[in-house]
Amino acid sequence: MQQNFLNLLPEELRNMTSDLYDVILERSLMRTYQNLSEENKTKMARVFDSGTKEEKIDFLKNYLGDLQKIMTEEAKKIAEEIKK
Amino acid sequence: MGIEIPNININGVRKEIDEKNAEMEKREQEKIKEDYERLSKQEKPTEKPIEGKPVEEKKEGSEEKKKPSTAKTMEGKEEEPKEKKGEKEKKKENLEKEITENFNDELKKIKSMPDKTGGFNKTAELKMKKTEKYFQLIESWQDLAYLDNYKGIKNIFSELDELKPSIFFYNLKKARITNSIAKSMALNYKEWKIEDKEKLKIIKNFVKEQSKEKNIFYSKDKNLKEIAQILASKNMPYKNNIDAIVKEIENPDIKSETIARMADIEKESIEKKKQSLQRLKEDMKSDKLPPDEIIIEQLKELGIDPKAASEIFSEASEILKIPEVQKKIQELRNIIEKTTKAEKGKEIPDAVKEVKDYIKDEKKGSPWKTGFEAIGGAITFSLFLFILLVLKGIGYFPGMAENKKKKIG
Repeated sequence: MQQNFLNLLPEELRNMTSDLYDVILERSLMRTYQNLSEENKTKMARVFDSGTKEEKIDFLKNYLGDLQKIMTEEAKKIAEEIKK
Repeated sequence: MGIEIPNININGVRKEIDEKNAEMEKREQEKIKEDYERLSKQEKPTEKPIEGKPVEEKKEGSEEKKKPSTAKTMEGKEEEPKEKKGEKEKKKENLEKEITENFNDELKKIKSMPDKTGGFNKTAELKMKKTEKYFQLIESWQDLAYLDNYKGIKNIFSELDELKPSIFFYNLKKARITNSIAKSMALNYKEWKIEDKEKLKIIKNFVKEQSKEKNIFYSKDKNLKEIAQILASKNMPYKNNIDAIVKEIENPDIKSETIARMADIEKESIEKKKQSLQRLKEDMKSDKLPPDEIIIEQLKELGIDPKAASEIFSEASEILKIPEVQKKIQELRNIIEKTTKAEKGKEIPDAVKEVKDYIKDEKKGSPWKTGFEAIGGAITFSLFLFILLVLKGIGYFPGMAENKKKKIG
């Protein structure tokens, strides 16, 4: 969806929105990754390197379930950073 | 069948009935579409084999594949008895007439829905419902709208202009739907049974008309580029055909990109062109905005008043016209660049990179979509909104609701 929505945005604002989204997603994933046990970090690397589609979806659901909440927090943080 | 239009207030029961009716209508329309598609397939003349590829391969899984007559058709076209052909044509004509009548009936019903009853809030609510019905009708009609040369769709757009609805992110939704209809016109170009000149005229006029509105979410030139690409993938000639579309592109960069793309498409194999069209169709199908409820909920989570958000969205065109805003865009771009650069310097484990790519790759079509995609979409909405607010010089993004007039940016 994001991509389709982004495509509708005027050029001058599209890249800014997309870049911010990238930062938020990356920071959120880093936070969730750091919370994983070593065993699950290895599992994540394996699943997303060579796992099946189902395994990937299962991993996202089971181990990165709070990603949405974290993304909301990170969106707030980045907005604050920019306002400064 | 049909949406019963109440003369009294729309209450919960009414809503339930409406939903059930809509569901039934949807099912019926889908059935009609299926019947129509089946009939169209039967009716379509057998296509010429492409690049030495047998026709059977192209119709994988279809019933025609099993028929022995197919091979014969490839060699010398087996003529169908005239009577049978005439019968089929008549059946198809009737079905097309029925489909168009069905959609027109729906349009009449929606038109008759009240939109000016009661006070301001009630009127806004009624307009909102009516607009949503119009949008739903457009979406179910657009693939077959060539049957009436898009007259019905154009009629809905006139109604929407008159209605002046204030629904959440109206201009965004309208831009999305306008873009999609124009692409459908190109996608259904060959099924559309009028002269090419007429088709091109209808497409051009539709795009032109919609671009008059100055909706920042709708780019006439980008839409024309997409149309040209679709027509090229459908093997339409550039001269005296696609060039009529390209001529309408005003932005010189987009125009030259389009022309270059035309040359690339021309070199592509038929199979590749077919794949591109298939991908586009899939993208169009999955191109759904998250439900309003999810966006509203997410905006609230972020401390944004959804009503204010929607208003800012509708003001976006005006905001971007303010001369100081243009200066601020550059300033903001610099700040964001600085942030992203700093981020790029950080070490990211490969596993995180892979998950990021996976989440961003929407073509995976995972069930995750229903939850995460919608939230991701809502966050993107919020970010865009935040940028607009910064550009406008007011900030009541996260945690700033109490400080609405604080200048930022």
